[in-house]
Amino acid sequence: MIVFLDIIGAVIAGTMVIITIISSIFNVQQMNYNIQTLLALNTTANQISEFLDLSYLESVGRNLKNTEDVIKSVSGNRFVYFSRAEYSDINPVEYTAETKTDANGNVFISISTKNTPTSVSVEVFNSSPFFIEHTNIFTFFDIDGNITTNINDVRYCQVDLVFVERGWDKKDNLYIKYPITFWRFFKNIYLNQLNT
Amino acid sequence: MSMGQMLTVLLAVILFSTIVITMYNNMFSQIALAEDKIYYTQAIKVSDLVFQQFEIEMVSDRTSFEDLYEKFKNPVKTDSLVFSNLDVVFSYIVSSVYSDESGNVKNEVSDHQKLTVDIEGIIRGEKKFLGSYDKVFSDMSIGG
Repeated sequence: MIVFLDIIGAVIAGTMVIITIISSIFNVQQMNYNIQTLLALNTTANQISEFLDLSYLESVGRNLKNTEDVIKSVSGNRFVYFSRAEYSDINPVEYTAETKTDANGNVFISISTKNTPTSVSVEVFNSSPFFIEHTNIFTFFDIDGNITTNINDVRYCQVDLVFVERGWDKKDNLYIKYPITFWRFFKNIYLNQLNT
Repeated sequence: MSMGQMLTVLLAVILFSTIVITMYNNMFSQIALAEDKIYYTQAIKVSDLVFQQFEIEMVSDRTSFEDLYEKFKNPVKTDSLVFSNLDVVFSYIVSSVYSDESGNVKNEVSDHQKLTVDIEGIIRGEKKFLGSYDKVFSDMSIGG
């Protein structure tokens, strides 16, 4: 009888140990996957935000004359502005930076460039599987740091991006988020004002 | 089961529990490390904001190079920079010293000043230093 009880006890204890080991392995895999996703999202978020900042927003109003419009319209999800290539006298290029929603309901960033009414190119940051959480990513400020939507008062903008990618958990509804906020002062507007 | 066997089993359970707890503890540390990248990256963006503000003050002629030095020669602390997307409160201290073009401190008036932004944040209830960022600015006004 004692031997029988010993066997039952050993089976129970052994089962618990095995369940704990298997559960731990699952959790390690899950956490590892989610950490990898977060780190990948970190790289993606930095690359896209820097590209948006340095390749586009930094050029707002570049090489424009004092009499030319710099900003056409501003809103939370859309920013239309003008810029001209360095050492160029051709017409200013119209840029539209905006958030759009794809067929799956995922938000992505799109930047279209219009040289002439017939020359339009579009650059889209919609590299699945990540997407942007909110459509309203732009906030505009005047010279004193107050929020404004008046295109004549805009001096800098804040861009709030939350990159989202599906994570892995038992219920399969985990989303890994990577928020990043950056600012861009429109230096050319200040310089243009100085020359008026 | 003899007393010796029971003690052996108990020891095995304690050893196994310790291993499992340590393993989970290490995993949570790794998650915290990965998440901290978010805050460090954001701190860099905050420092960039300060540097841009400083540069704009100069190029727009709103404040002179010397006035900017006077403004920041004693460290200026900004509290409670809150982001809607991040559950962290940032605060930063801006200070300026005259320097040469490489950022070496000079004890006299110079055409260059080094701006330093020290950033900290309250993360998961704990105050954490998020970095110190320097940038050297040159006097761009006509005539130096």
